[in-house]
This record gives sequence, structure tokens and C-alpha cells, in this order.
Amino acid sequence: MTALLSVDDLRVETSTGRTLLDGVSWSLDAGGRLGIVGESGSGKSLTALAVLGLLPEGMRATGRVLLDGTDLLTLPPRALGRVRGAQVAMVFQEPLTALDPLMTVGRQITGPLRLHRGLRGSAARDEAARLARLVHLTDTERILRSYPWQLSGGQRQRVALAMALACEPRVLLADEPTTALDVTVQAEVLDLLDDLVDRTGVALAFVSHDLPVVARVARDLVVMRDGRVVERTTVADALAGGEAAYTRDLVAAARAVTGLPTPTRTAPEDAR
Amino acid sequence: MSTPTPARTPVLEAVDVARTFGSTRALDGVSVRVEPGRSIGIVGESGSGKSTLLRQLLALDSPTAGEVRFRGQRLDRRDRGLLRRLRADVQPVFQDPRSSLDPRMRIGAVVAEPLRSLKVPGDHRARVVEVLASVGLDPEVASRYPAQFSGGQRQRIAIARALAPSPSVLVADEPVSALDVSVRGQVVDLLHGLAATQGLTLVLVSHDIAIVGRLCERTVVLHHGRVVEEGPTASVLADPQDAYTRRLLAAVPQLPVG
Repeated sequence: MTALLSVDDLRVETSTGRTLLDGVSWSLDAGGRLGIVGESGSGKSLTALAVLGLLPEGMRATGRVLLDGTDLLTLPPRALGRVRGAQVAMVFQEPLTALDPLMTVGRQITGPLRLHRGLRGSAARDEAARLARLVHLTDTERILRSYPWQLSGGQRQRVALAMALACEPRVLLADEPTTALDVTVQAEVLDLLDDLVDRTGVALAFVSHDLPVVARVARDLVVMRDGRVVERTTVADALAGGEAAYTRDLVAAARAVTGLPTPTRTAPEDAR
Repeated sequence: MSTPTPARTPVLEAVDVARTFGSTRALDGVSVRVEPGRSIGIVGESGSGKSTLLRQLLALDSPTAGEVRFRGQRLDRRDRGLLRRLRADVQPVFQDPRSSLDPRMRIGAVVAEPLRSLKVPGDHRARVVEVLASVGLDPEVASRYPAQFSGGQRQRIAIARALAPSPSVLVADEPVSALDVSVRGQVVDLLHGLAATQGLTLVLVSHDIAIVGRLCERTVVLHHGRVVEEGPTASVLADPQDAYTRRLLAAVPQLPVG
């Protein structure tokens, strides 16, 4: 299978010549599920921003970011703007940063429908309602009329997902999308992501510091540290004992800290 | 498992505490006993009331009904003498050591600060060296600034500061949530070791039931301002009685056994 999105020897430097990302390479197949895991300072979020052409002022990316053979790093800003959102969509840790506080949720979801898909009026409204149902928002009518601050954290992240999926993107880049959520809400959003990947066939790149969360949704795994890729593997292989010592350390730390001490669980087995 | 000794006065006790903010009931009849020399975890998600309860236990806020007792005495924010004894004996450790350590103060001064403000007699410098050693830090760090340390080291410094006035209770509010996974375990082990070797009473407030499971003998689960479950941690984890506790446990992302 040829890769849908591939990052090839990506480097990011500051204007003072400091190297922040050093030769990062990975690829994501159509319908694939890639987890990018690393601790703070590993460069995992910077990688996501570089892929989207959203690096902060003063940083420069070299290498290649190929979406279906087109190098996004060489695209002019306007062409990149058409790719972003329409073909590669994103969700971040804090959905409020993606949502406009002065606009109702309904208008925010129909925004990209107008811009990228040319939908107007009732067609746009119907599609917004369909998207709201797709992300399992209940009471859709009320939510579409609400402002972001009137929603809970979980509802906001669902709205952000609905917006991200509005243009039927081929790649969904999610950077710590559940980190700010309560653990019970996190579980629901992870289930939702799982389900969305299955139903829409969107390829998922999931960035997080939290290996158990990544393991919950990803199949392939990129382990990053200090701006470099430590290991490219699969979640299953990493859990069975990764090649790199650092991967094994991360797995051990996750087991020690986030693993519940008592294996007995009265919750049903499907609580995975 | 030891059976509770009836005659022991709790170090801290919330008795049917309510705290309302306007029409919001943040705490609604919460009772919690903190036994001396024991560890207790208070678990809850956002809106559970755990932070409000923490503020009550530290006497940073007063209940609208019920009372909080320190060594059997009702806490009253006007009782200066009692508050002074509470401040010396019950020390907080907060989530983010970046914001709880003054960046302009050298570590030595940071750690000695409670000794100064509580007017603890004795050789402060010697005490600083002692508590830095107890959290696994070299005495020479005293001359450096917080910015020169990693998150895990900063949390060790914050713990050393809390230990400086020789409190009998540490109240830790999400002490590892802001740390990388690889250092979380070390800080958990440190707290565990300190509680065991120094006979400290530990109150841990966290959204993370797994961390509470690692550290605490007893667990209290808060939901919408009420205690929905309380008991020895092992039985709360293995045999949760309340539906919300079961939901909380099922939601913890776990690595499948590889």
C-alpha cells in the first residue's frame, strides 16, 4: 500500500539555527491509525504543526511532507490553505482555541461547509445536523444554537471533531485531543474517534504523551524523544517489548503509573 | 488489613460539610476522616468538589454548613492560634511546581520560606540540607534557581519545602499530573517512601484513581459534591459498590498485557 501522508526527513530549525526536529520520518496509509508518542520536548506537537504548515514565526521546516505525492512544504500559502481543513483536518487539546466564542456552534460547523463544499442555506444546516449526529451529540438542535461557552468540555471536543470532519478530510491530525478532558469523558471521545475512523475511513494521526491512550486508538506507533524518532513500530510490538530501550522505559513507566494496581475489574471486558 | 482503632482522633476531619456558591452546591454533606499516619486519596472529576474540599481541609475557605476539625478542634478562620498550628502541621504540595516556586528565589530560600514565615526556631540552613537530602537532592542545589530544574526535580523541591517545618500531614493536590510519565513514578515512589519512613499522614487529591491506587490506603470517591464511595483502596478498586466508581475505573486507559 502506498502512503497517503508521508513525512520524510523533516527538520525544523529556529532562526538562530537551533535544531528542534531532526530527521523525522513516518508514513500514514489511507485508513491507517498512527500514534505519535513522546514526553514534553520530544517534538511530537511540532511535527504535527510542521505537517500543517502552521509552524510559529521564525521556524523553518526542511525535508518533505507528501500528501498523495504533493509536497506540502513547497505549496504556496493559498494552495496549502485549501489542503488544510479540506484534506488534512485537525483537532487540538483545547477545543476552545479552535472555536470562535462569538459564533454559534451551528454557524461554525456550516462555515467550512460553505467555504470548501459550497453548501448554502438549508443544505448546509442539514449537513451540520448530520455531522452533529455523527459525533454523537445529543440534543443537536439546542447545541447548534449554543455558543461554545455554553457547552461542556466533552461537547466542545465533539463539536471540534464535527468541524474537522465537515469536509470529509482524508487525514485527521489529533494533538492530545482528550488530555484536557475528564477520564470518563475521555473514554467516550476515544470510543467516538475509534468509531469515526471505522465509519468514515479517515486516516488518523494521534499525537499524545499518554501511551495507554495512544494504544487505545492507534495501530502503528512512532516514538519520539528530543526531536528525533526513536523507533517506528506497532503498538502491539511496543507493548510486547520495543526494540529501543526508551520505548521499553515508556511502556514500563506507563504500566507502573497508569496501570491500576489490582488487575481485578468488575467492569465488563469490553471496557478496554 | 487492620481494623480502624476507634479511640484515635483524626488529624483532619470534615463533618457533614456543605459549601454553596450561589445556587451551586459544590459540597453537599461531605464527611471525611483523615487518620494520623495513614494515607487517604480523594478522587473526583471536574465539578466533583475535590478542590473545594481541599480548600476546606487547608482552612483556605469556610464551609456554609457542617464543620472541619483539626485534631478534634473546630476550625474557625478567626482562631489565629489554631490556624497557626494547622499551617505548621499541615503542608500543601500543588500540581504545578513551575507556578508554586518563586522564580526569583534561590532553592535554599524557597525551601526555608515556611520556616521563616512560621517562625520555626533552629538552624534553618541545616534543616534545608536535611530535607533536600530526604527528597534525594544534593545540598548544592540550594544556591540555584527553580528554572534550572526539570519538572520532576521542581516537584521534589516543592515537597522538600513542604517537609521543612516538620509537618505531620502532607496534602498533595494532583502532585504528578503535570509531570512526564517517566518521572511520575519517581515522585509517587518518593511520596510513598516519605509517608512510610517519616510516619507522615498523606492526603492526596486527584482526578487519577490509578495514582490514588498506588499511594493511598483509603479512597474516597467524590461525585457532584457528595461522597459516593469510601473504603480501603484495595476493595474500592477490586469491588466498587457505586455505579459512578465503576464507570471511573472502566474509563482509565490501560495498557493491555503485552
